[in-house]
Amino acid sequence: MKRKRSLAAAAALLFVATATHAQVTATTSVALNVTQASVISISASTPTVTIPSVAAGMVTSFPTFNVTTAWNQPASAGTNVQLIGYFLTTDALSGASGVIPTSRVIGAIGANTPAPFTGTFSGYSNAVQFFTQTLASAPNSTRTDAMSIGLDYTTGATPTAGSYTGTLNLVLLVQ
Amino acid sequence: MRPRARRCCTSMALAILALVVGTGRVSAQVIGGPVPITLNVNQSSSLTVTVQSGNVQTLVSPSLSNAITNFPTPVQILTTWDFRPNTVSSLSLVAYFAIPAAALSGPNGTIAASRVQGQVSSSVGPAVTSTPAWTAFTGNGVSANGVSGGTLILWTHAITGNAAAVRKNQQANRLDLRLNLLGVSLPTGSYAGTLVIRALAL
Repeated sequence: MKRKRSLAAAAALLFVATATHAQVTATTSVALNVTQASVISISASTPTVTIPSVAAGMVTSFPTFNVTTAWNQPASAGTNVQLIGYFLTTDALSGASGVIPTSRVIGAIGANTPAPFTGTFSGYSNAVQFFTQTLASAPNSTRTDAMSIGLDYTTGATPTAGSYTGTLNLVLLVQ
Repeated sequence: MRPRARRCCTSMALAILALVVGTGRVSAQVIGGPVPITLNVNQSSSLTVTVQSGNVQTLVSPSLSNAITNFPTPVQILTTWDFRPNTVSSLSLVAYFAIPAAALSGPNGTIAASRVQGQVSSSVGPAVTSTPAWTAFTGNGVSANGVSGGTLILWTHAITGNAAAVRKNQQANRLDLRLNLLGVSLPTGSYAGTLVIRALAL
């Protein structure tokens, strides 16, 4: 009889303890939606470069400038990323005294060998492809390259005295 | 009969009549009881948490990578409680992601809970000092509520004593959220996740 009472008392204590430390919870939630939009951008450290005088028998370089490119693209956007520089016509620069053809203008980034703007890349004529890389290797990347542009008069006559202006177009492509 | 003797007889007769009537009344009254009735009312404890605004957060940007970006609107949370005496000793509000390694996920990748940060303040109820600064969702849960490595304890209050003002109260909080993707290159695409908010009393 005594033992039964003890057991009953213990059970009552256990119940009280459980009730005292019961856990009560209430739950709700917040939905988070994030979209990383695709990115593609290109910028140059200067809008204008100038050569004061073109030397004969050598390459005369414009001051080197930096080109910064950035992209963040899904794999579906393409397979390659490429930086292309081009002139709209075969006359790269022109002035009252004549023209400087794209065959005399050379360009490269970094330590690459300069090439004349006579190629065609991805539909752009009078062009140089400065770099190309697979998108899969770096779908989200930023790079800054030192760009060197020069006039190659290692052979032939230098331009007639006068002022010449032209526009080099830079385009970053993913395709 | 003399007048004085007549008055005396009349008084006696009235007295006898009164006694007879009175005796009749006492003997006719029957009383059962009173019976006491005990009234018991059990008001259950209650705890609720609701998101009053900001329950859907949408962030679209081309420059999330390598940057800190706030979600556009704060999350307004209201917690109300009414506990029976001696039933709980503390009350906490926690927020967590079920999968810390992938708090948000999409076809092109995931965003870990360590890259989601929260900052909480209170406008109603006890002051909050738990997370006054931006803190990542990398903490552990409280008594099995929350997920280890994916939880932020927004606040904890001690429920001490049985004063009604302590046992019954409410707390309004503003939870600001942001992504900290410094050093992270996030692939393009959409990511979705659910932040669970739970109030728990122990």
